[in-house]
Amino acid sequence: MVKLEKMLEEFKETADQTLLRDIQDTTKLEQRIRQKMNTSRNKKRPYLAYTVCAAVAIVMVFVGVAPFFKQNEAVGGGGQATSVPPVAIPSDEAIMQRVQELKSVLHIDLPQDRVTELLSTPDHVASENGGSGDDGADEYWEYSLFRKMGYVSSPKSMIMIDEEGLLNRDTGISVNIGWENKKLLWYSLIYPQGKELYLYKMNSNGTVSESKISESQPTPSILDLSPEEEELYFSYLDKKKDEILRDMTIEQILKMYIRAQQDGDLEMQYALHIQDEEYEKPTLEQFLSDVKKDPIGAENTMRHVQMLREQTDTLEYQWTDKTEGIVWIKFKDNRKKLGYRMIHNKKRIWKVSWMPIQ
Amino acid sequence: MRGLELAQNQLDKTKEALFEEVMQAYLKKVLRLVYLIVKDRSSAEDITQEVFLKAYKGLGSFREESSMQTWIYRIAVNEAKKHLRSWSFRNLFYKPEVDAGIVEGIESAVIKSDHRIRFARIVMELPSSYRQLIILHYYEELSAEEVADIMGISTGAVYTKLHRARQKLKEQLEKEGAW
Repeated sequence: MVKLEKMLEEFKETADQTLLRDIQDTTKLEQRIRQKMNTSRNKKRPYLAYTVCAAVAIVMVFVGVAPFFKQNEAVGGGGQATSVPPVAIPSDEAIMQRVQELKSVLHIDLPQDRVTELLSTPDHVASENGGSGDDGADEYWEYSLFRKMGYVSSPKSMIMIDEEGLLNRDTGISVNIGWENKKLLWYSLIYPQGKELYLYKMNSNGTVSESKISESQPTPSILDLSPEEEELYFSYLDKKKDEILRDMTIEQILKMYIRAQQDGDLEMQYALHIQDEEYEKPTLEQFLSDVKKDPIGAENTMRHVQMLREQTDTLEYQWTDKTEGIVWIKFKDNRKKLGYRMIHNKKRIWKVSWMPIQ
Repeated sequence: MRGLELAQNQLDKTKEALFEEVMQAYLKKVLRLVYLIVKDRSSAEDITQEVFLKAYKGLGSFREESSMQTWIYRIAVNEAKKHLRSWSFRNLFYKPEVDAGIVEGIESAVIKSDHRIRFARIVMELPSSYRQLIILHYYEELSAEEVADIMGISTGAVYTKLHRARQKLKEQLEKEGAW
């Protein structure tokens, strides 16, 4: 123990000479901070902002700048007549670019007036009388982007997808938004790429999913749960009692965790994580709130799970400690193997480490 | 109106001057502290930027109930913890080596003592809640009371966790035969 104390006393010097020896020059970081600080200070001074805005407005009058999202409403969709002349059928690239733009600006709790600013007034609106409200929404909006001038979609109801219109490029993207108290609760984008239609959805808990509409069942994967495992999965989902997991192997627990990610079930994911004071695990409320505020993280999770499902070849388990193990995932395409750190809890039941490296 | 603007400018100047002092005194320290917690240079810089922007906004409300260092370290630890909860961190997957610049290029380091290098690596592999305490207490050389203030826990909890962290270090050193 004496030696440990000595090493701890020397830790400052050791860290400075090894871990931190490259952290010397902070000039660039200082500049970054000053720049940000100036931007934020200027925002607080409306009289300055007005001057700048006035100058920008004058320039806009001369160059004819249209609002960011509205300027491409070239073929008459979006609910507002514009003076922009019609253009050719949108390419898959143009549609995809708009999808990405929408994903970057639409998020949970966005107010209605902000969406109106971005996308203009919706093509269709249904209030709670018209909508089912089962999903917690009290109002629904629909936009058809890249819609051909004069095109009227064949389905008259918002709940039906205009597959034909989208595949023929009579309309480019169908945007559906569910509202609660005038704030965005969820949204979905339906859009064509080649001969396929895709459905992207941001759920009310902040998770996202994306699939081909024609695909009724996902492609089988080694990560699929067997019927017996699925039964235990749903039992645990319902009761959250660790004893249900008692006889499950480390690989089975990991498969359940990936399934919970795939289904966007955050409470299940949280329950499958280790609960231990050593780990920086937030409360469930913090966790749910963090996910809601992190649409990029949600998108990354979705892409990651898709990749795992498609590319996983084998799962290999390796003990690293008496209470810890790693499940190594090897891939079909020979990319670098990936390890999930798993921990035996005090009841000797496998759980997923809160943070795989700490 | 012009008078008001002038007064506002004067206030800003004072605040700016104070902020400059804070940045000169603590920027590198905060960057190093955050880096030791999150173990990634780029994330550490982003977090440090956020820490100083928060500090700038909060300078007016700083009441000197704690020292400036404690105040700014508290912001830094909270921001680093927020990062540890984020997707990007939670989804960094296990890799056998610590990404802390400790292994590669070590030959050229001033320090040649192998056991000290191994010890630094073991500290960096500690679970984050233990690592934060070791860093604040042994690297920043803060008292248990100051650590408690920064982490928002009791002094007793600091002692208990420090004891556990040392136990964990000892186990790891024994396991690796580093004694």
